[in-house]
Amino acid sequence: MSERSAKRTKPGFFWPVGGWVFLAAGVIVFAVTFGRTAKELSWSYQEWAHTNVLFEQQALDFTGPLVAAFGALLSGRLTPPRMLYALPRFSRDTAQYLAQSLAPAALVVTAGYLLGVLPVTVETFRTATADTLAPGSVARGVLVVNVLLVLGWLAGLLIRSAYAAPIVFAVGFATSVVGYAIGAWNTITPVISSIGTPGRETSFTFSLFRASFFAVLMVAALVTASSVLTNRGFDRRLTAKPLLPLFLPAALAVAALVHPPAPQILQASPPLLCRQAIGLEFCMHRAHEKDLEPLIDGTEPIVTLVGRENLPFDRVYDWSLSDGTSPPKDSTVFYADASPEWGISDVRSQIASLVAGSEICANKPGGEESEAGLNSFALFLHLAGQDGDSKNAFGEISGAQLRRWLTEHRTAITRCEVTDEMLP
Amino acid sequence: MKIEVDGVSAGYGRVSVLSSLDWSVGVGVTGLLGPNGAGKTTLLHLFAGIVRPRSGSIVARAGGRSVASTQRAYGRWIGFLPQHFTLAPELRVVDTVSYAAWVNGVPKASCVAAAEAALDDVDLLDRAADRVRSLSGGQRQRLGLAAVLAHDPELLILDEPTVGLDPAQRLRLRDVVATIGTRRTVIVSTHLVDDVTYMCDRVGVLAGGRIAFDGTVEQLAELVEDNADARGRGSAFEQAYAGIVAQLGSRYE
Repeated sequence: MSERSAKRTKPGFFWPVGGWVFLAAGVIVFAVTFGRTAKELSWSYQEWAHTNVLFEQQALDFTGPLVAAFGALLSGRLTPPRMLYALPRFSRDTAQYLAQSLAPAALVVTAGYLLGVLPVTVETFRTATADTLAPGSVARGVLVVNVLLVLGWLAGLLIRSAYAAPIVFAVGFATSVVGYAIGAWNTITPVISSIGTPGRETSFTFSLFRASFFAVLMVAALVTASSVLTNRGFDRRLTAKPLLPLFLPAALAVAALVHPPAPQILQASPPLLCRQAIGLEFCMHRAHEKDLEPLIDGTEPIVTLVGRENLPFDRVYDWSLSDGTSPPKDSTVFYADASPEWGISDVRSQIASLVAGSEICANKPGGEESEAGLNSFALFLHLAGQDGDSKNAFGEISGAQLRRWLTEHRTAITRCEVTDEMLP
Repeated sequence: MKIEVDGVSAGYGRVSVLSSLDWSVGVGVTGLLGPNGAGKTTLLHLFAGIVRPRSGSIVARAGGRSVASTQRAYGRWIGFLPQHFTLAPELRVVDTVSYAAWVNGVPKASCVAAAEAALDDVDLLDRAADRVRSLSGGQRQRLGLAAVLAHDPELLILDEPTVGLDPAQRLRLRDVVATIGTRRTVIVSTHLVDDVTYMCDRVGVLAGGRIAFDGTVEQLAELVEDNADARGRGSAFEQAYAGIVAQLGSRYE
């Protein structure tokens, strides 16, 4: 019996809880992380700018709170001081105790997290046409996952019950929501709200501060846990002293909120792919090079309709190449949206709106309801090909007449002053 | 191993529970008696190193070495079974005990052997692979004993270990404790006279914040003649015990 049971009960890596608990946790973390990043797999192609942000965003928003809850569950089950193997006084070194308690959990949640983001990462390697994987994003994602595990474990240790797990999940999810909602919190919340697009990159200051903050938080949480373990009693109330190490990350958090570093900066020299077509220069970020032809194809009908001479721009650029100001500083460039999720934006409508002066009328007080506003709208509908069967004044004339009319009335159009008498 | 309590005072907040307590306990099973509120649990927590004395010291001596209860190394020397303890029901019996051994300093590679030896001591080895949830109350109590025995402590502190057990389970546990007491120092807090009579070699009675009696069970029983006020229904031992407590006029009674 003794020999048989010794063989069966040799302490394994997941001892004493048992491998199935950790396997279940790893599978759940994988499934949730994969689920939160699976939408991207339906895209026509991937872009590294987006995938790199995923590591600190969608891949963490549900996974993070779950990991923290798992940590709380483990400590809530194994560390209450009335557990015989967690009495207030034990001789095992607390560093070894923490390592034994946390290392298996850290391994499975990290593996689950990385396996969860693996499909989208592989797909990005396969289909992305510019940039590459940012190891810093992956490292920060892994760091945050493990910090949340330790914080959850600490919460279970302090609350002394597995009931800490749902509380920790709720709090963790709330911080995810805060991270999405409030930009200033991005540096210190598990998830960041920045939208990863080509032409933008995470700023070095932001990355450094965020990594430092979570590293400090990890160390502080471990030191706090160690201090709590060595200073607790059965019924002794928790004093503030063991929590003092958390003061440092708290101070960093305040600093980040008072003076938050900018999460993203413009890419210094974005890789370009340019081509001359239909009298215009088309330029895409290399990450969107698969959308160059669709952009040209989408632009051609409206250019043919209104004529090159009636366009207020001579270049069509990927929005990823803009500096983000609206309207663009350089009015000779038309910026078109390109996205692996949605493809090319409705370029014809956007250019039609530009040529018809729709925005000018919209910005003019009472402009949209005015005679000029209604005429601008009618022109827009015709140029965008949205007038259907209802023929308006512009539907009655030929293409050459339309182009000539546009040239003749350009000033009135740009001032939103097209009267009924001016209509063809 | 011998454990020496020298002028220990302890309490909580402004309440003083023990004052200038002196006591010496050697190998064998020593019962700790005292009225409710006398400070038995506080004294056990002092022995276990969970509570620090306000003054005085508790020192364990064995093999030419001595360790104070406030030192980290002291934890390796003691095994403490509180009156109320919990176990994770989903764990296996052997994992529970081997983990307790590891927590108390046994190298990981030796934990299973240590656990099996402890389970053998409490006659639970045949349940090693079972889940804790499948054990009866008495078996859980013995499992608790195995968990605090597994790191082979010199001093075993048991706080009312037989409470809640049926007679058969109590008998079995007493046998186990008595056997352990043949080679270790065991301090047992209890209210049950039979526990003391059949399990303990010596008795200490805690009253008025100090040890009011320290001697054998027989010596305590002999005191009944000297405590006329304590005459009444009950065994000689119970009468002696009540008499001592009354004589001292314990303010905690």
